[in-house]
Amino acid sequence: MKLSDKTAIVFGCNGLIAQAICKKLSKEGCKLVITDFKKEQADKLASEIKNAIGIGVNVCSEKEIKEAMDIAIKKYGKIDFVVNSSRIALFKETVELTENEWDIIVDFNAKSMFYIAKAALKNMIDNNHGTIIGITSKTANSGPANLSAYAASMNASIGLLRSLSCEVRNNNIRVNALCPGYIEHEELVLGAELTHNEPPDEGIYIQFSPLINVANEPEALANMVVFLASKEGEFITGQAYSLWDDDLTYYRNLGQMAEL
Amino acid sequence: MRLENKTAVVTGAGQGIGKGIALALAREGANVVISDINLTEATKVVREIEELGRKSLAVKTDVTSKKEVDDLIKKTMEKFGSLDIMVSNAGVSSMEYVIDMPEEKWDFNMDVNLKGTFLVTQAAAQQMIKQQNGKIICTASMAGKGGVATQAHYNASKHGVIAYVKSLAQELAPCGITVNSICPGSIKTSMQDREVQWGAEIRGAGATPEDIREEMANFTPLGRIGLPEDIAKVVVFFASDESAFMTGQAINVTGGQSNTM
Repeated sequence: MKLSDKTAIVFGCNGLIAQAICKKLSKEGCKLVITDFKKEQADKLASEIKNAIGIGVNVCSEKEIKEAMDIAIKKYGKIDFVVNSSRIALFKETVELTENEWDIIVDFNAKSMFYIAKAALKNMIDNNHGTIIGITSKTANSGPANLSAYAASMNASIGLLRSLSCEVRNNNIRVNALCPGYIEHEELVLGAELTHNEPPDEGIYIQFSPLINVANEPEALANMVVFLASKEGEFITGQAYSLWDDDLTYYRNLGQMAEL
Repeated sequence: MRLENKTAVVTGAGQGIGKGIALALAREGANVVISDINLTEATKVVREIEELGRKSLAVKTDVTSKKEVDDLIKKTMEKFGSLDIMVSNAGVSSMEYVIDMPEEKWDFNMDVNLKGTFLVTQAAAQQMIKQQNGKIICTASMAGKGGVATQAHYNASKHGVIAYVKSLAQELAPCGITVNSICPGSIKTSMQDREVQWGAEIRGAGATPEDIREEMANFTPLGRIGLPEDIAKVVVFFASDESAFMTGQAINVTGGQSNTM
């Protein structure tokens, strides 16, 4: 096992990507604190894997994030890895997007990254050790139509993480981002819920390239997380990786939304 | 002249890069609305533009206020009857390490630089869609492509602008509207004056603002700090027909400087 005696806290676990990451980390021996906007979601996943506890956390609240970090430190004594996989999406034309919708998306996706990084750093700097991984999006590069707030927030997170990697390079802390090639159904569901929009149709997700194998992507990203967290990744920092290097904007399985 | 009888709006045009852009657009024949949070400085730029023989108008705008942004477009339409070129340029910066960064500083950078870009370009797009043409140019930054310590919030906001522009470009392409961003490097402005001052304070050990500025020039392959006019030339290109087949791009104007320091 590559991560025996290590401790991770994962924010946002409603989608298959975060669930694959949690399961893979656990399999490699890592002890986990799993959080989600919906506590029952976190509890459910925690009950399915070894050495994990679940907490409900709204990532728009700095207070709740700090409390989650405190619980993790109290339970396991330290935090080795922080993974932020909290993302919401709303598929809507920019000219129709309201200021309130913009704020909700940018705060949930980007400001959360600031709160989480800041809260984690205190413990990591004391330990002179740690890894922060942000799960962002390929949209940060490709900029698809009708997802401008999402793309803006995801690239904002990458900008934050790149700067942070420079700040903490002498503290033995590494900071990287992974960029999934599709937007999960659960991101659209929670995004619609928080912005008071109609929920997306059952099973709908948004894919950015015909090359991306959505069925395999969660597992592949989870492998990348383990790689970045383990000794093998110890000279990698300030990077944003996607699994596919093409800039096509391609929608599949969008149903009604594609008509926008 | 490449922009005769066009109407342009430039936010943050009371000083620095925005002022340079406004004057360059006017020299190419455009009438220019000078939007700035500081009405006194905006009014001075209006006079300079009028001296060039163009029409101008000063509008006080806080780009984080939807009401004031909508008012800016309304006043522009009332006076000039069209909006051909929108330059979303207003921006701020500050310097703090993440570990000590107060939430207010995060909000300050994100609200003005990123949300301000959304509000300004959304309002402009609503008008330009009616016209079925228009040129939108956003001032991003070299910081939108890389990271530097003490400016995580600024870097995040500028990364956001670049991705936002790519999305908006996709949406507005069918309406004949192009959307591009420019990424200035180290440019001599009052923002830079503040940054080299902070930079010297953060570094300590007797470092002076001049030392920091000299370092910036040394990091620049073309060997000098840039000027607002260097940026303005590229904005004129994006505002003109010469860039008709370009949209969604983020163009570095950095003297060859790379993205990270």
